[in-house]
Amino acid sequence: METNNKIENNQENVDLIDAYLLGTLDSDQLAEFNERMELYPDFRQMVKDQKALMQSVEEINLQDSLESFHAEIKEEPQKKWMSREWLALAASILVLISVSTWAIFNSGNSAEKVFAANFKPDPGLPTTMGTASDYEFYYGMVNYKRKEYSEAINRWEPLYAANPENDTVVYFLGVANLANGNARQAEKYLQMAKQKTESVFYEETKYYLALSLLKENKIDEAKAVLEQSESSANIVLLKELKGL
Amino acid sequence: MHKHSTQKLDDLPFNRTVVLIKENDATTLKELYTANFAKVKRFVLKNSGDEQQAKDVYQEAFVAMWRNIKNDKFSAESETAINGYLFQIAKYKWVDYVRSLKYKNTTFINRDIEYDEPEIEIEDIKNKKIKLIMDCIGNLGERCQTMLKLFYFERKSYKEIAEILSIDEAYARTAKYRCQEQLKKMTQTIPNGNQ
Repeated sequence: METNNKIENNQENVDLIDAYLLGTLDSDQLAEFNERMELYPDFRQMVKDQKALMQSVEEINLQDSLESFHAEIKEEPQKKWMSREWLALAASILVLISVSTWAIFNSGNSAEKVFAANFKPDPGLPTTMGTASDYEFYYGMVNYKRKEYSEAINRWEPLYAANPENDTVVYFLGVANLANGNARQAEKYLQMAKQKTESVFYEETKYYLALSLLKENKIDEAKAVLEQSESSANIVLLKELKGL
Repeated sequence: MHKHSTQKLDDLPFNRTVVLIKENDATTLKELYTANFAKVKRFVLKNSGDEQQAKDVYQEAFVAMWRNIKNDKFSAESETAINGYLFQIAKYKWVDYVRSLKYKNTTFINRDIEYDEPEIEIEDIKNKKIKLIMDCIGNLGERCQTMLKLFYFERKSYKEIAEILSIDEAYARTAKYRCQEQLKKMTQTIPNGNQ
């Protein structure tokens, strides 16, 4: 124990040890750090303790992530059978099919075209914090704005499960799913959101619900959703649908 | 199953994948997780287990694999690819479990499980200190849990944390320090908490 060189447990040292543990020290700093560890057992112990703390935080959060990883398995159980070559072949067949479909049905407006022309994800909410329980929601919103829709959905789904009455979460889960290409799931959430007629998202909900239905080729249902809408976006979209 | 069976790791060089795992990269971990379950499940189902047991043993193996990679117990130079490594751990754990059951029942039935001794060292005996800290984390406030998760698990910078939590960067730094100190205190006040 060095009496004249007592290592203090202060923020500065904690930050330094973090830099070491996260591998962000440059070679000079690292050499100095190692020397310090060698010289001072107290410092060495601090590093050891902080490493244990870091590993604990990491491991518990990894364990918490596993359920959401597992949930993703069911969606594509065939994945491991698909070789790169197979995928390439499948992709080229798809391209061929879509090109011929396009060639055949090119006359007139398709549902696909109307969808593509109209779908743009909701810009999202400003990420300001209210209460502690909002962290996950706003964190998901940061993902959403970065177009990391799967991550946003992963964060919001537990919030929805805990509080299905929250119209904001339901609405954004719907839009995120649609942006993520999952129209069926989007429809499910947006149908629920539509029940909340007093919600500030009511008109937008109808808009995105109609687009989800359109994507699923349920054009009549999409039209029904938009009847008696007040927002101009909804009225314009309805007009386009009627032209199909 | 031979250990040199064809394992491919997408387009990432091997070392890069190891680095990403060490950094808890969510996409890498998720891909690894989803890619290997089916094989483990088949093995467990074939050897008198059910789906739930397959999932349990797989998740245990997944964490063990991650821990070994973190602690450099699994070298990137090895020929065994990570997928194979993960499967080996799961297989080893399942065989171990089935064997322990057989001992308990004192019936020594057919050794029908094809099994080669693992060349891999599995770090299972979790450091007692880590176990204790993990138990304490749940008692931290939600805000502190989020803060530590963002910093250590998701490897966000203070700047990013400040953005996510809509707080000042300097404040984020201080808050993380305080949360950490709080957690340390908790582990110290628990009887037999030290060592």
